[in-house]
Amino acid sequence: MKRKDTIINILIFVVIVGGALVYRYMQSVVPYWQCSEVYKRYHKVEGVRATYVKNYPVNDTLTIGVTLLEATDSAGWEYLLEAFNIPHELTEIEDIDVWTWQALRNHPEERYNSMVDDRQVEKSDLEIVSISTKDQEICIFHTRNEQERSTIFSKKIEANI
Amino acid sequence: MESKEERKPTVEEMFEAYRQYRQRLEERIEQGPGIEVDFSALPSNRRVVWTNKIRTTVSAAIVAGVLILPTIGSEANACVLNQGADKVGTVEAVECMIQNL
Repeated sequence: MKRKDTIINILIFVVIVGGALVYRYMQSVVPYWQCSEVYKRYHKVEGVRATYVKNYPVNDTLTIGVTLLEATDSAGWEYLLEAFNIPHELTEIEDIDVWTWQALRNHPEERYNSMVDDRQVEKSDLEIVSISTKDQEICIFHTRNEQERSTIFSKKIEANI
Repeated sequence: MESKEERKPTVEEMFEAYRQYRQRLEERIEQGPGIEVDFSALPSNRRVVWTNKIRTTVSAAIVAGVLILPTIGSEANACVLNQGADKVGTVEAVECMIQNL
């Protein structure tokens, strides 16, 4: 009886404390199923380091999801350029390091320009994609509406004042 | 020869044995030089078992509370990354990207 009670007591302790540890860990890490589609597509690609940021604070009131794709070697960079339909000539322009465009949700390689595009796209389905040819990385801001996109650009303006 | 089956005593048997032991002890104390023992302070066997369980549960709950409490309402959840990510480097890269949009 005494041994059985000891085992039960140990199990109770381990289950409660173990559950708390799991909860604590879950709060500090984004589980795979919550990461963006773009992250899931690129996180296993050789030469590309994919990172998903949940609730990146743009300002005091706005947080958005961000996916960052970094090329860790030249092969990874070539892969990204090809996947995102980016011509090599763009990377050779010295004066401009960062290029930005709007793209369809979960398809950052499909640029969207409302001035010339005939497709009927909801504004809530657009995200901001930015590529830095100098740092060889691509950043996708998973915005949900026009206001969030404006806020991000406002932050850029504030930072440069 | 009959083989003896070993059987664990039940709680009732243990109680009865303990009761008889107490009774003998009390009789000896009555005969002895006035030693006083407060038997009512001794816990019953079942109470000891449940007291241990409650003590273990409460201890575990306190440890769990210490682990969980810092995450409640804190800014720690404000910016969370996937497993294995370099948080500082990533946040810096994103910030730099925003400034250069």
